Amino acid sequence: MRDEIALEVKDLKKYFRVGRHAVLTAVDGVSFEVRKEEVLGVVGESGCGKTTLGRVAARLYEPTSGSIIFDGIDVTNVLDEDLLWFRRKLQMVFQDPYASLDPRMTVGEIIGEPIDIHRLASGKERVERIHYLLGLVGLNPEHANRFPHEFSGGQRQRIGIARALAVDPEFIIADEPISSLDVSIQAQVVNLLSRLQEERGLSFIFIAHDLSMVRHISHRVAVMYLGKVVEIAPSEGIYRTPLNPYTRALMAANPIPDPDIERVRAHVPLTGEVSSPVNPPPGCRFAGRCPQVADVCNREDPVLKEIESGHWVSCFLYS
Amino acid sequence: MIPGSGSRRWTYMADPKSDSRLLEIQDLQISFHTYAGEVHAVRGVSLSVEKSGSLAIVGESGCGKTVTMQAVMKLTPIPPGEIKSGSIVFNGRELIHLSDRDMQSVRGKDIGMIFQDPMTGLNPTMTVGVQIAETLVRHRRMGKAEAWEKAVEMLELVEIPQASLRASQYPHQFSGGMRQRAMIAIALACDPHLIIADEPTTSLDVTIQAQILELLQNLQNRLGMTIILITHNLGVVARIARHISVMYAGKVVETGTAEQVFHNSAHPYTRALLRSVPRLDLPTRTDLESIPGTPPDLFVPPPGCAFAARCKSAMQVCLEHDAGPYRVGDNHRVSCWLWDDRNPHRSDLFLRNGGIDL
Repeated sequence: MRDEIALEVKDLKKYFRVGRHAVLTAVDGVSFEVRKEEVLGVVGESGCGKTTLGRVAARLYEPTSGSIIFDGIDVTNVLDEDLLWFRRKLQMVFQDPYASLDPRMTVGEIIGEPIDIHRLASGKERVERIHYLLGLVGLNPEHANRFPHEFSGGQRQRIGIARALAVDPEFIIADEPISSLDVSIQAQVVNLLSRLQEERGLSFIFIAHDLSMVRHISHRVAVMYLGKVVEIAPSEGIYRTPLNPYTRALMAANPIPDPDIERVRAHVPLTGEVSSPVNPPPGCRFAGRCPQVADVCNREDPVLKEIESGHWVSCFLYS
Repeated sequence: MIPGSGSRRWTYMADPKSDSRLLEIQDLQISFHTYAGEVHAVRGVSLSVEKSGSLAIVGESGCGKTVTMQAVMKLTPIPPGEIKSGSIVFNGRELIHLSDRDMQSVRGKDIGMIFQDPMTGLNPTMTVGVQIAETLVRHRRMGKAEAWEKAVEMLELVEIPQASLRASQYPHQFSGGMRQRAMIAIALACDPHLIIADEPTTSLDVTIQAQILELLQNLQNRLGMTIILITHNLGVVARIARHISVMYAGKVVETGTAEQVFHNSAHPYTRALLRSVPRLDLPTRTDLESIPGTPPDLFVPPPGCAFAARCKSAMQVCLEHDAGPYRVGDNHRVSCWLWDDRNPHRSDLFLRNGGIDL
């Protein structure tokens, strides 16, 4: 990991209008930075805004407000046609390897398309590049002539990774890249991503709901709840001393694959469910489910504060 | 002849205590006939669960865990499915040859089922209360008013707040966790002897999963129900199950108590599976242990052990003949050639596993 900042988002917001008077606050004022060669994990439950965050940061969605700074350049308001260089440097890997590959294109065409768009190679060189990329992700050159339906989920995810790497990016946003895969295949893909990240010095945003996988792959972890980052800290720190009550609940809810531990572990599940992100009330979004809720939580919004070096948490317990 | 091959291989597993068993499946074989050929989905599965016990069937997609349990409920679509052989004895009664009509008195009444996706498991055009009451009217011959009252009671049992209001709502008005609770209420309504839960928490968020697991565990302790849990989540297994059967490519490869399977896993697949998931309670390792390759194609199942192609310890015999099962502990059985008594290093395995020698 290096000190230079690869990607910085400042007070990023993305609202969706869902009715005449209803606004869905998918991402509501998120700020963080990702350094070069760093892996930032983003965890949270469905509807917390982690996927939207990834897509806004990649400029696939237009942000409602806030700014996105990539490599020192503000790309928030750059027009789409001037974004080609940014698209080359930042690529995405999507969750569903069935929906994210065009079924009518061969694997070679899928991986070749970004090479053509960015005019990186042609003719023999292009073919060689496709074969090299297939080898890089553990597939064979012969696979280039096949169609996506001939592959398993894990292999398809490898194709998606090869496509992202085709333009030699510096930054990858991977949105739940393993959650649709079987357990034994998940480890293969995570190891592949880790290896590529180290070998090629990539920066990464790894979005997932599986805490243990996120911890395994990330240098730092951000925990999201209803559009906001509630805690962000170095990976080991956040797992050793989770500070926000939500982070603690999330970890306690994760069952550990060991019957001896599970049998003696105290199970105090969170009550209630994630409230709606449409027209949220003032105050902390987690207040309704929080076991340590105080009066102030229903009135004011907590802000992220640095409690220890590099360990930020937004909760009134720490103010 | 290689011991362990041939049709008699499961017979020596027969146990004199079999009267305590609620469900016993023996040598079940199920195929599906498709345009591409015959898929051998279940290839000789034997497993059993005791009264008030909890069994988890663990395996990856396509290993046959759901197909096996569908057969117990007689929900296998025939055609394209075909039950080729085997027996399913539930409460002393053979289910395999039961007519659809007779099966209707077992399904829902004696065996309740919880499906993975609560939205497809519930009828969107009926209120939740009516769906619970329906089973009671049918199986318990209750009047409508009585059944409705009982339905509200069931919703209270599964800890749905404002149960009487919720009973008259439709499934789309429920959140994912609430729908799963409603499904549990339907499954429990007739006080069944056995509950089959097929990936009951897979579509839920982790904090909601924790709530549902807590509920299932409480209900199990309170009502003494027998539960078969189908899942791929090893954490969920550790939490709920007392016994585990690990399936791979249509076969049970290892079966034992939760402690035996987690701490003394005897099959290389089980061991690899356990090591391929990172654990929150342990320091991180640099690399996850991954299992190379993919499960075999069940159109043409391999003649030997199905895991051999991915197995680090595979030998020549593994490719040619299927193994075991071998007894490696009390109630702990494994289908792997490493445990054959002709393996000169077998005693080392026993020492490492703290198992018994035979």
